[in-house]
Amino acid sequence: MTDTQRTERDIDAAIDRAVREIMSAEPRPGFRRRVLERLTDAPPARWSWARVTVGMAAAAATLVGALWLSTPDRSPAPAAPTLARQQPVDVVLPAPSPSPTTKPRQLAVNKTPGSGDAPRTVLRKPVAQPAPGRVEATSLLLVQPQPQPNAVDTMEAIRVSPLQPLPDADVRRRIIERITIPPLSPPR
Amino acid sequence: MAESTDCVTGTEPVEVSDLDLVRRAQAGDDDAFGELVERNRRAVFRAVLAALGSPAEADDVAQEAFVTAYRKLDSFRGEAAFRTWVLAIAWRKALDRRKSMTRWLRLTVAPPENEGEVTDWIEQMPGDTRSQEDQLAGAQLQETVKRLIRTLPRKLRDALLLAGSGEYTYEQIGHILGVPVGTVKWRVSEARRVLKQKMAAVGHPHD
Repeated sequence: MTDTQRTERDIDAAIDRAVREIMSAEPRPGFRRRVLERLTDAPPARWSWARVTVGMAAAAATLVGALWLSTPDRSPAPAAPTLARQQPVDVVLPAPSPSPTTKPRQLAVNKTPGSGDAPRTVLRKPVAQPAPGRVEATSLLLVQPQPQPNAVDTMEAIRVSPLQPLPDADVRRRIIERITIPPLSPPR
Repeated sequence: MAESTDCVTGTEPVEVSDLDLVRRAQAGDDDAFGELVERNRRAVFRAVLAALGSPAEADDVAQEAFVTAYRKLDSFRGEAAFRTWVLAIAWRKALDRRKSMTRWLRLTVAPPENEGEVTDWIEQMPGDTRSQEDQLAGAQLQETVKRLIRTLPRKLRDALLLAGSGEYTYEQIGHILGVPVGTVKWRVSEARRVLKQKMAAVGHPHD
Protein backbone atom coordinates (compact mmCIF):
# COMPACT_ATOMS: atom_id res chain seq x y z
CA MET A 1 0.00 0.00 0.00
CA THR A 2 1.47 3.30 -1.02
CA ASP A 3 1.51 6.40 1.08
CA THR A 4 -1.04 7.97 -1.23
CA GLN A 5 -3.41 5.04 -0.74
CA ARG A 6 -2.87 5.16 2.99
CA THR A 7 -3.56 8.86 3.07
CA GLU A 8 -6.69 8.38 0.97
CA ARG A 9 -7.92 5.68 3.30
CA ASP A 10 -7.18 7.79 6.36
CA ILE A 11 -9.06 10.73 4.96
CA ASP A 12 -12.06 8.56 4.06
CA ALA A 13 -12.03 7.16 7.57
CA ALA A 14 -11.76 10.66 9.00
CA ILE A 15 -14.78 11.73 6.96
CA ASP A 16 -16.78 8.74 8.15
CA ARG A 17 -15.87 9.40 11.76
CA ALA A 18 -16.69 13.07 11.49
CA VAL A 19 -20.09 12.33 9.97
CA ARG A 20 -20.89 9.76 12.63
CA GLU A 21 -19.82 12.17 15.33
CA ILE A 22 -22.00 14.94 13.96
CA MET A 23 -24.96 12.58 13.69
CA SER A 24 -24.43 10.78 16.98
CA ALA A 25 -26.56 13.12 19.04
CA GLU A 26 -29.70 11.75 20.65
CA PRO A 27 -32.98 13.45 21.44
CA ARG A 28 -33.23 14.69 24.98
CA PRO A 29 -34.73 12.31 27.56
CA GLY A 30 -38.50 12.46 27.81
CA PHE A 31 -38.98 13.00 24.09
CA ARG A 32 -42.04 10.74 23.94
CA ARG A 33 -43.65 12.39 26.95
CA ARG A 34 -43.09 15.86 25.50
CA VAL A 35 -44.62 14.87 22.20
CA LEU A 36 -47.68 13.40 23.90
CA GLU A 37 -48.05 16.54 25.96
CA ARG A 38 -48.13 18.57 22.77
CA LEU A 39 -50.80 16.28 21.38
CA THR A 40 -53.24 17.37 24.05
CA ASP A 41 -53.21 20.78 22.43
CA ALA A 42 -53.59 19.33 18.96
CA PRO A 43 -56.47 16.88 18.66
CA PRO A 44 -56.42 14.91 15.45
CA ALA A 45 -58.58 16.14 12.63
CA ARG A 46 -61.24 13.44 12.57
CA TRP A 47 -63.63 13.20 9.65
CA SER A 48 -61.40 15.38 7.59
CA TRP A 49 -62.90 14.09 4.34
CA ALA A 50 -66.40 14.66 5.60
CA ARG A 51 -65.46 18.20 6.52
CA VAL A 52 -64.02 18.78 3.08
CA THR A 53 -67.14 17.38 1.44
CA VAL A 54 -69.45 19.52 3.53
CA GLY A 55 -67.36 22.57 2.78
CA MET A 56 -67.39 21.93 -0.93
CA ALA A 57 -71.16 21.37 -0.91
CA ALA A 58 -71.69 24.63 0.95
CA ALA A 59 -69.47 26.47 -1.51
CA ALA A 60 -71.34 24.97 -4.46
CA ALA A 61 -74.71 25.94 -2.98
CA THR A 62 -73.47 29.48 -2.40
CA LEU A 63 -72.26 29.70 -5.98
CA VAL A 64 -75.54 28.44 -7.42
CA GLY A 65 -77.47 30.89 -5.27
CA ALA A 66 -75.30 33.79 -6.37
CA LEU A 67 -75.75 32.86 -10.02
CA TRP A 68 -79.51 32.57 -9.59
CA LEU A 69 -79.76 35.96 -7.95
CA SER A 70 -77.58 37.61 -10.57
CA THR A 71 -79.72 36.36 -13.46
CA PRO A 72 -81.79 39.36 -14.72
CA ASP A 73 -84.75 37.40 -16.15
CA ARG A 74 -85.64 34.30 -14.28
CA SER A 75 -89.13 33.88 -15.81
CA PRO A 76 -89.73 31.30 -18.51
CA ALA A 77 -89.90 32.40 -22.11
CA PRO A 78 -93.40 33.42 -23.24
CA ALA A 79 -94.27 30.60 -25.53
CA ALA A 80 -97.89 31.24 -26.32
CA PRO A 81 -97.71 34.93 -27.46
CA THR A 82 -94.72 34.28 -29.63
CA LEU A 83 -96.43 31.48 -31.36
CA ALA A 84 -99.52 33.56 -31.90
CA ARG A 85 -97.57 36.36 -33.56
CA GLN A 86 -95.90 33.95 -35.83
CA GLN A 87 -99.12 32.77 -37.29
CA PRO A 88 -99.30 33.53 -41.01
CA VAL A 89 -101.38 36.56 -41.78
CA ASP A 90 -104.19 36.22 -44.21
CA VAL A 91 -103.63 38.29 -47.30
CA VAL A 92 -106.71 39.92 -48.69
CA LEU A 93 -106.20 40.79 -52.28
CA PRO A 94 -108.41 43.55 -53.61
CA ALA A 95 -110.37 43.23 -56.75
CA PRO A 96 -108.42 43.98 -59.94
CA SER A 97 -108.50 47.65 -60.81
CA PRO A 98 -109.68 48.67 -64.27
CA SER A 99 -107.29 51.61 -64.46
CA PRO A 100 -103.96 50.84 -66.16
CA THR A 101 -102.25 53.61 -64.24
CA THR A 102 -102.78 51.90 -61.03
CA LYS A 103 -99.73 50.13 -60.02
CA PRO A 104 -99.92 46.74 -58.61
CA ARG A 105 -100.45 46.66 -55.04
CA GLN A 106 -97.35 47.00 -53.05
CA LEU A 107 -96.58 44.33 -50.71
CA ALA A 108 -94.71 45.21 -47.63
CA VAL A 109 -92.64 42.32 -46.76
CA ASN A 110 -90.67 42.26 -43.66
CA LYS A 111 -88.79 39.44 -42.27
CA THR A 112 -87.24 39.56 -38.93
CA PRO A 113 -83.55 38.76 -39.34
CA GLY A 114 -82.64 35.54 -37.87
CA SER A 115 -86.10 34.83 -36.62
CA GLY A 116 -87.01 32.30 -39.24
CA ASP A 117 -90.47 33.77 -39.47
CA ALA A 118 -92.44 33.57 -42.62
CA PRO A 119 -92.74 36.82 -44.57
CA ARG A 120 -95.53 38.89 -43.20
CA THR A 121 -97.73 41.01 -45.41
CA VAL A 122 -100.30 43.58 -44.49
CA LEU A 123 -102.44 45.10 -47.16
CA ARG A 124 -104.84 47.95 -47.03
CA LYS A 125 -107.33 48.48 -49.78
CA PRO A 126 -107.21 51.63 -51.93
CA VAL A 127 -110.27 53.70 -51.54
CA ALA A 128 -110.23 55.76 -54.75
CA GLN A 129 -108.55 56.26 -58.08
CA PRO A 130 -105.17 57.97 -57.82
CA ALA A 131 -104.73 61.50 -58.98
CA PRO A 132 -102.54 62.11 -62.06
CA GLY A 133 -98.89 61.96 -61.23
CA ARG A 134 -99.48 60.29 -57.97
CA VAL A 135 -99.51 56.78 -57.03
CA GLU A 136 -102.27 55.41 -55.10
CA ALA A 137 -100.96 52.50 -53.37
CA THR A 138 -101.85 50.35 -50.66
CA SER A 139 -100.63 51.54 -47.41
CA LEU A 140 -97.77 49.73 -45.98
CA LEU A 141 -97.57 48.78 -42.50
CA LEU A 142 -94.13 47.53 -41.76
CA VAL A 143 -94.62 45.17 -39.07
CA GLN A 144 -91.36 44.94 -37.32
CA PRO A 145 -91.40 42.68 -34.39
CA GLN A 146 -89.94 44.50 -31.50
CA PRO A 147 -87.70 42.74 -29.09
CA GLN A 148 -89.71 41.05 -26.47
CA PRO A 149 -88.55 42.53 -23.21
CA ASN A 150 -90.60 40.35 -21.05
CA ALA A 151 -93.86 39.15 -22.36
CA VAL A 152 -95.11 37.93 -19.05
CA ASP A 153 -94.46 41.24 -17.36
CA THR A 154 -96.17 43.26 -20.10
CA MET A 155 -99.22 41.08 -20.36
CA GLU A 156 -102.36 42.45 -18.91
CA ALA A 157 -105.19 40.57 -17.50
CA ILE A 158 -107.93 39.80 -19.95
CA ARG A 159 -111.08 41.69 -19.18
CA VAL A 160 -114.32 40.44 -20.48
CA SER A 161 -116.80 43.19 -21.18
CA PRO A 162 -120.41 42.62 -21.99
CA LEU A 163 -121.23 42.90 -25.64
CA GLN A 164 -122.89 46.13 -26.72
CA PRO A 165 -125.35 46.22 -29.56
CA LEU A 166 -123.86 47.67 -32.72
CA PRO A 167 -125.39 50.92 -33.95
CA ASP A 168 -126.97 50.95 -37.34
CA ALA A 169 -124.18 52.15 -39.48
CA ASP A 170 -122.10 51.14 -42.43
CA VAL A 171 -119.37 49.23 -40.90
CA ARG A 172 -117.25 49.18 -44.04
CA ARG A 173 -117.16 52.93 -44.35
CA ARG A 174 -116.08 53.31 -40.84
CA ILE A 175 -113.13 51.06 -41.11
CA ILE A 176 -111.88 52.08 -44.54
CA GLU A 177 -110.09 55.35 -44.43
CA ARG A 178 -108.65 57.32 -47.24
CA ILE A 179 -105.00 58.04 -47.14
CA THR A 180 -102.51 59.54 -49.50
CA ILE A 181 -98.89 58.79 -49.30
CA PRO A 182 -95.92 59.84 -51.42
CA PRO A 183 -94.47 57.45 -53.93
CA LEU A 184 -92.63 54.62 -52.58
CA SER A 185 -88.90 54.66 -52.63
CA PRO A 186 -87.11 51.64 -53.86
CA PRO A 187 -86.32 49.26 -51.15
CA ARG A 188 -82.92 49.64 -49.62
CA MET B 1 -61.28 -14.14 31.68
CA ALA B 2 -58.56 -15.77 33.73
CA GLU B 3 -57.87 -18.21 30.93
CA SER B 4 -57.44 -15.38 28.53
CA THR B 5 -54.97 -13.65 30.82
CA ASP B 6 -52.98 -16.79 31.33
CA CYS B 7 -52.91 -17.33 27.63
CA VAL B 8 -51.54 -13.85 26.98
CA THR B 9 -48.92 -13.94 29.70
CA GLY B 10 -47.75 -17.35 28.66
CA THR B 11 -46.86 -16.41 25.08
CA GLU B 12 -43.95 -14.55 23.61
CA PRO B 13 -44.54 -10.84 23.10
CA VAL B 14 -45.72 -10.28 19.58
CA GLU B 15 -44.07 -7.49 17.63
CA VAL B 16 -46.76 -5.12 16.52
CA SER B 17 -46.10 -3.53 13.17
CA ASP B 18 -46.04 0.21 12.66
CA LEU B 19 -49.09 -0.11 10.44
CA ASP B 20 -51.06 -1.80 13.20
CA LEU B 21 -50.05 0.94 15.58
CA VAL B 22 -51.14 3.53 13.05
CA ARG B 23 -54.55 1.88 12.73
CA ARG B 24 -54.95 1.89 16.48
CA ALA B 25 -53.83 5.49 16.71
CA GLN B 26 -56.29 6.42 13.98
CA ALA B 27 -58.98 4.88 16.13
CA GLY B 28 -57.99 7.16 19.00
CA ASP B 29 -55.38 5.12 20.85
CA ASP B 30 -52.81 7.67 21.95
CA ASP B 31 -50.65 5.01 23.54
CA ALA B 32 -50.24 3.41 20.14
CA PHE B 33 -49.09 6.72 18.76
CA GLY B 34 -46.69 7.05 21.68
CA GLU B 35 -45.19 3.73 20.70
CA LEU B 36 -44.75 5.01 17.15
CA VAL B 37 -42.94 8.03 18.56
CA GLU B 38 -40.69 5.82 20.62
CA ARG B 39 -39.80 3.63 17.66
CA ASN B 40 -39.03 6.45 15.27
CA ARG B 41 -37.83 9.29 17.45
CA ARG B 42 -34.13 8.78 16.80
CA ALA B 43 -34.50 8.46 13.03
CA VAL B 44 -36.63 11.60 12.91
CA PHE B 45 -34.34 13.49 15.25
CA ARG B 46 -31.21 12.68 13.27
CA ALA B 47 -32.76 13.58 9.96
CA VAL B 48 -33.64 16.97 11.36
CA LEU B 49 -30.19 17.20 12.91
CA ALA B 50 -28.62 16.65 9.49
CA ALA B 51 -30.49 19.67 8.20
CA LEU B 52 -30.08 21.94 11.21
CA GLY B 53 -26.85 20.91 12.89
CA SER B 54 -28.11 21.91 16.31
CA PRO B 55 -29.34 19.15 18.67
CA ALA B 56 -31.56 21.56 20.57
CA GLU B 57 -33.24 22.79 17.38
CA ALA B 58 -33.49 19.25 16.08
CA ASP B 59 -35.25 18.11 19.24
CA ASP B 60 -37.85 20.85 18.94
CA VAL B 61 -38.48 20.34 15.23
CA ALA B 62 -38.69 16.58 15.64
CA GLN B 63 -41.43 17.06 18.22
CA GLU B 64 -43.28 19.35 15.82
CA ALA B 65 -42.99 16.72 13.13
CA PHE B 66 -44.64 14.09 15.30
CA VAL B 67 -47.40 16.46 16.29
CA THR B 68 -48.04 17.23 12.63
CA ALA B 69 -48.04 13.53 11.83
CA TYR B 70 -50.63 13.01 14.57
CA ARG B 71 -52.83 15.71 13.11
CA LYS B 72 -52.57 14.22 9.63
CA LEU B 73 -52.86 10.64 10.74
CA ASP B 74 -56.19 10.15 9.02
CA SER B 75 -54.59 10.95 5.69
CA PHE B 76 -52.02 8.19 6.10
CA ARG B 77 -53.12 5.39 3.78
CA GLY B 78 -50.26 2.99 4.29
CA GLU B 79 -48.80 3.17 0.78
CA ALA B 80 -45.41 3.89 2.34
CA ALA B 81 -43.95 2.94 5.69
CA PHE B 82 -44.86 5.15 8.61
CA ARG B 83 -41.19 5.97 9.15
CA THR B 84 -40.79 7.16 5.56
CA TRP B 85 -43.95 9.22 5.86
CA VAL B 86 -42.98 10.91 9.11
CA LEU B 87 -39.42 11.47 7.88
CA ALA B 88 -40.75 13.40 4.93
CA ILE B 89 -42.82 15.55 7.27
CA ALA B 90 -39.83 16.12 9.53
CA TRP B 91 -37.57 17.04 6.64
CA ARG B 92 -39.98 19.68 5.36
CA LYS B 93 -40.21 21.19 8.81
CA ALA B 94 -36.44 21.14 9.16
CA LEU B 95 -36.01 22.97 5.87
CA ASP B 96 -38.54 25.56 6.97
CA ARG B 97 -36.66 26.07 10.21
CA ARG B 98 -33.34 26.25 8.39
CA LYS B 99 -34.66 28.93 6.06
CA SER B 100 -36.00 31.01 8.90
CA MET B 101 -32.77 30.70 10.90
CA THR B 102 -30.61 31.49 7.89
CA ARG B 103 -32.75 34.53 7.19
CA TRP B 104 -32.43 35.65 10.80
CA LEU B 105 -28.66 35.19 10.80
CA ARG B 106 -28.28 37.13 7.59
CA LEU B 107 -30.02 40.02 9.25
CA THR B 108 -28.00 39.86 12.46
CA VAL B 109 -24.60 38.45 11.49
CA ALA B 110 -22.28 39.86 8.86
CA PRO B 111 -21.63 37.28 6.13
CA PRO B 112 -18.10 35.89 5.91
CA GLU B 113 -16.07 37.64 3.26
CA ASN B 114 -13.65 34.84 2.47
CA GLU B 115 -16.25 32.25 1.49
CA GLY B 116 -17.17 32.03 -2.14
CA GLU B 117 -19.55 29.12 -1.86
CA VAL B 118 -23.14 28.88 -0.83
CA THR B 119 -23.18 29.12 2.91
CA ASP B 120 -25.81 28.96 5.57
CA TRP B 121 -26.08 29.30 9.29
CA ILE B 122 -24.58 25.92 10.16
CA GLU B 123 -21.21 27.01 8.83
CA GLN B 124 -21.14 29.91 11.23
CA MET B 125 -21.71 27.81 14.30
CA PRO B 126 -18.68 27.00 16.45
CA GLY B 127 -17.50 23.41 16.57
CA ASP B 128 -18.99 21.22 19.24
CA THR B 129 -15.77 19.65 20.43
CA ARG B 130 -13.28 22.47 20.47
CA SER B 131 -11.10 21.63 23.43
CA GLN B 132 -7.54 20.99 24.31
CA GLU B 133 -7.86 17.43 23.04
CA ASP B 134 -8.49 18.81 19.57
CA GLN B 135 -4.99 20.13 19.59
CA LEU B 136 -3.66 16.61 19.47
CA ALA B 137 -2.53 15.42 16.06
CA GLY B 138 -5.11 12.69 15.63
CA ALA B 139 -8.01 14.82 16.67
CA GLN B 140 -6.91 17.76 14.61
CA LEU B 141 -7.73 16.02 11.36
CA GLN B 142 -11.11 14.99 12.69
CA GLU B 143 -11.94 18.51 13.69
CA THR B 144 -10.82 19.85 10.38
CA VAL B 145 -13.11 17.44 8.56
CA LYS B 146 -16.07 18.42 10.70
CA ARG B 147 -15.43 22.06 10.06
CA LEU B 148 -15.13 21.48 6.33
CA ILE B 149 -18.32 19.43 6.25
CA ARG B 150 -20.14 22.51 7.48
CA THR B 151 -18.83 24.44 4.49
CA LEU B 152 -20.18 21.99 1.93
CA PRO B 153 -23.06 23.06 -0.28
CA ARG B 154 -26.28 22.18 1.43
CA LYS B 155 -27.45 19.52 -1.01
CA LEU B 156 -24.15 17.67 -0.77
CA ARG B 157 -23.94 18.03 2.98
CA ASP B 158 -27.51 16.79 3.53
CA ALA B 159 -26.90 13.68 1.47
CA LEU B 160 -23.53 12.99 3.12
CA LEU B 161 -24.86 13.32 6.66
CA LEU B 162 -28.02 11.30 6.05
CA ALA B 163 -26.07 8.52 4.36
CA GLY B 164 -23.30 8.56 6.93
CA SER B 165 -25.62 8.36 9.90
CA GLY B 166 -26.43 4.73 9.17
CA GLU B 167 -30.10 5.30 10.01
CA TYR B 168 -31.53 5.28 6.51
CA THR B 169 -31.37 3.39 3.28
CA TYR B 170 -30.60 5.18 0.05
CA GLU B 171 -34.25 4.72 -0.92
CA GLN B 172 -35.37 6.45 2.26
CA ILE B 173 -32.90 9.26 1.71
CA GLY B 174 -34.17 9.69 -1.82
CA HIS B 175 -37.72 9.89 -0.50
CA ILE B 176 -36.73 12.40 2.16
CA LEU B 177 -34.85 14.62 -0.27
CA GLY B 178 -37.29 14.09 -3.11
CA VAL B 179 -34.65 12.88 -5.56
CA PRO B 180 -33.84 9.53 -7.20
CA VAL B 181 -31.53 7.09 -5.51
CA GLY B 182 -28.89 7.67 -8.17
CA THR B 183 -28.88 11.35 -7.35
CA VAL B 184 -28.40 10.55 -3.68
CA LYS B 185 -25.40 8.37 -4.44
CA TRP B 186 -23.90 10.99 -6.72
CA ARG B 187 -24.29 13.68 -4.07
CA VAL B 188 -22.59 11.54 -1.45
CA SER B 189 -19.70 10.83 -3.78
CA GLU B 190 -19.45 14.46 -4.81
CA ALA B 191 -19.48 15.56 -1.18
CA ARG B 192 -16.51 13.34 -0.46
CA ARG B 193 -14.65 14.62 -3.49
CA VAL B 194 -15.23 18.24 -2.56
CA LEU B 195 -14.21 17.53 1.02
CA LYS B 196 -10.91 16.06 -0.09
CA GLN B 197 -10.27 19.06 -2.26
CA LYS B 198 -10.89 21.34 0.68
CA MET B 199 -8.63 19.28 2.90
CA ALA B 200 -5.86 19.49 0.34
CA ALA B 201 -6.31 23.22 0.30
CA VAL B 202 -5.82 23.45 4.06
CA GLY B 203 -2.76 21.20 4.15
CA HIS B 204 -4.08 17.63 4.17
CA PRO B 205 -3.17 16.34 0.72
CA HIS B 206 -4.85 13.18 -0.37
CA ASP B 207 -3.18 12.55 -3.71
